[in-house]
Amino acid sequence: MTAAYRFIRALTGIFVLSWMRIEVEGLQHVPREGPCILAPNHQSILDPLLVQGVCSRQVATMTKSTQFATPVFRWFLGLCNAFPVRRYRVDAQAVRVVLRTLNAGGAVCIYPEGERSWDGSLQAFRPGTIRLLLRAGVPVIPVGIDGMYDVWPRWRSYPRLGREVRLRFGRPIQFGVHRDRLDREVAVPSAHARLRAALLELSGEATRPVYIESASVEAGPTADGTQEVILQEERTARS
Amino acid sequence: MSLAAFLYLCPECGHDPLLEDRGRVRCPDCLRSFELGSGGTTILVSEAGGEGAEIPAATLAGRLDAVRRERVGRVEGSGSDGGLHRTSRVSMRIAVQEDPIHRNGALLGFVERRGPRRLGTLSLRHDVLQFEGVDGEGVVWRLLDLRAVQSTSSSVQVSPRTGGVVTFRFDGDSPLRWEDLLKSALRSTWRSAGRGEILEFQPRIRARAEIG
Repeated sequence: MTAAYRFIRALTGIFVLSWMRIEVEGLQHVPREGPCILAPNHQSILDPLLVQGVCSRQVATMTKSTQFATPVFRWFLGLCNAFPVRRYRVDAQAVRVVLRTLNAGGAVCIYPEGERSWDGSLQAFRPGTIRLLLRAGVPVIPVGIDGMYDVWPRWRSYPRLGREVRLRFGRPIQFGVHRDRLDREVAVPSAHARLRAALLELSGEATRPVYIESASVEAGPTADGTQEVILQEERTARS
Repeated sequence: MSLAAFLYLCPECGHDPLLEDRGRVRCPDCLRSFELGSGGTTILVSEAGGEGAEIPAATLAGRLDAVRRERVGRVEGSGSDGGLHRTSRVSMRIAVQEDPIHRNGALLGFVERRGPRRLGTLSLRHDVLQFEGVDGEGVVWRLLDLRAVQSTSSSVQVSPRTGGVVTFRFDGDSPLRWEDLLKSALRSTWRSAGRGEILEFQPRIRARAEIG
């Protein structure tokens, strides 16, 4: 862990802890060394600081490129070990950075939903993210964030203080190595379902009054002849 | 932004828009008010002069979606051509270049270099997206020429086939509404053009081939 990262981690820890009461479970599931990918659900702009703040090892977080627009933010994100991803195109460079970091034994954090949820529930995952997890072939630690929507939802201009937040790190999911593209496409639906089930459980959404009851994924041909993944969700209201 | 960015019309009665009122939003029609609840992911919905109930935000999102689908083509966006229409004040920035970012001598990635902010109005007219600047200059994009659509924080971004990425920040309107509207219009346009059902909108629009 670099000195700059340690400093930012300490600073954000003080900052964040003064705002909310945090409960953390399952940190033992994060390997102390060796490559791994953290995959949290995304409820709030503060999620990355929270995950990095409680995690005992340095994590490189995939962050949308627009966050790097100003020199101040670019400098700050550099201290946080974040790297940009251009979401408006297929970003091969972001994929290279992920694989390079993992090959060097590092930890990467990627938010499978790709953006913050508007309503706090788990959104559809980016198919490209699932493919990347399969290509990387390293342990994937699902991270359930519960309560950050209560603190600072996407649509709100400022946070609320004194809320309870829970972070639950789940058991590592081993998807295996899928270097072949066709092999990955075949594996996408089950990988998607496994990660989704884990995040629904860890984030507490599975026990909320409304949740995604089932999420089946089917593959089908696209206009350009490649396989594509369609997520079918059924929401159930218990009350 | 405020709750009106998420609940851009009343999820209970469909009135459009909701009015902002000191941290909450209120429907002038059914008189319900909405504010962030304390149940984790809930919205406190209060009847006029009555008690409030904590409703899961996802439930309200589902109701809003149902109301929106019912309204499409009838109230909002009922153009004479049967397509979706809306106009809003926006600030627009176009990025046609990208800057590399390096760290410790290694290429980390790229960041779009955005041009100057331009104020104007953004209009969706069936299958055309048009920006008219206050300076009188405008840009027009056919929906069939868009390569990707996504929301980012409080903005909506589109990527034309001609290149670059265009960011719209809305003045007094919801980016979520515009994202939903654009996606509905794109689905309709793609279908009409025989390009199939759109499966995803980013990083690029991908459609499922129509199987006859």
